[in-house]
Amino acid sequence: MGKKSRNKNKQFKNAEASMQSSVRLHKPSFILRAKIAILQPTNLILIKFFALMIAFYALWASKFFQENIIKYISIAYAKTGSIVLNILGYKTMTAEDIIRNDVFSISIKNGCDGVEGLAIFLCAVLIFPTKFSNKIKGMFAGAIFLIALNLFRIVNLYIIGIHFPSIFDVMHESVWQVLFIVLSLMALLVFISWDRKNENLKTSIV
Amino acid sequence: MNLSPSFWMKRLIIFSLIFLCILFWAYAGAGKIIISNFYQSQASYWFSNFGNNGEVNFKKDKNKASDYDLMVVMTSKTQKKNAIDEARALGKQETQIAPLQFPINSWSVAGLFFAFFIALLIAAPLSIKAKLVGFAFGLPILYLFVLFKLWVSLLLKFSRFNSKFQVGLENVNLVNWFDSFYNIIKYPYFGLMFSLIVFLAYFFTNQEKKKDVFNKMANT
Repeated sequence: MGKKSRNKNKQFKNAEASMQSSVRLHKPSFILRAKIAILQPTNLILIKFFALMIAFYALWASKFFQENIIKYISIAYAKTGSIVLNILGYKTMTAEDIIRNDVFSISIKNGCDGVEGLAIFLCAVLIFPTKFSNKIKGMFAGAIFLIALNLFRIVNLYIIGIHFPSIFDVMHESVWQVLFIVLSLMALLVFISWDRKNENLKTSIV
Repeated sequence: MNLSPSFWMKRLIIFSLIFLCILFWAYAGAGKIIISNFYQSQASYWFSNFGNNGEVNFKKDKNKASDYDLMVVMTSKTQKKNAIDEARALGKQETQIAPLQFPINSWSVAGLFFAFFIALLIAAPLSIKAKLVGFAFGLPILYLFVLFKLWVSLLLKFSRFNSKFQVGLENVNLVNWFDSFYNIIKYPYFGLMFSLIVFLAYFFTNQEKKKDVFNKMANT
């Protein structure tokens, strides 16, 4: 003990003091602050979300995806929409992605198939920090909700096109597109709320 | 601030009311005309001279039955020069050029995104100061996005007729890549999603609210 350890202690204290002063002197640089801001958990979630959306759009824009998936999704919507409209007494028929009767016809094209809204929701659930089983349940329930919503939108627009043709454009280009995105966001908030409740409930039971 | 589903439902109702007011202003009031004039003036300012010798004219679409409000007329100095040279060689006094034209609905390529963003920001659970900062942050980004979208559209159209205009890209692979990219961004849905992402980025980057949202969300 004695002299050697006292010297060591002194050296250690000096080093600590110089470190503190250097910390005080050097403010974090702009780049470092930007890095810290970007690496915030919520920002990381957003970055992951962007990355997934870019991946989705890269896939979505490919000829293969358009010809083999999007095309059939549109046809499926047209057929299902036509069934619902027939139940409602509109006597419609389909040809590829077109629903028509003697009075009116609509075609389900890109943007009307709800795939992008569905992608936003699925990507957001996928990157949300929770259990995988909860993600699967959320994705499944959300997908069903958004598909049903899009079907409702198609049927609704067809009926508007027949009975209120003057407001068809407003409903088609402004109201329903926005509503679909906002309801996708709401579905996501419901999922987050459900997930937290579910986790809290399990914790309290345990 | 309560973040239960009923709280968000209330926000959704506020958003819907604000958005409906903007729609009413756009369709029944002077909104669409103001947006059309603004889009025309900005597009003319930035793109009336395109590339080395491209010329773009944004005119009002006079066809009232049409869904579009603007007509874009694309020509180039080279195209005009070639037409004049050809006419001179044939001994003609006059000649005609065939510009490339396409219509634009300024509401669906620009106005709708701004309306959506404004309604989102007003309805969001943020302080008035944060909302004002949000406008200062988001609106210029949306403005740049709208201009970028138009730039891609013009570049692609010039490039497709590069032999005629001598403007735009010559590399076929690059033109195809731009074509695929434009196929993604051209739909209003992408613009709306972009507006949503700008809004969410701002909302979550707002430190105070960020902590608040996630702490409360965890307690819901």
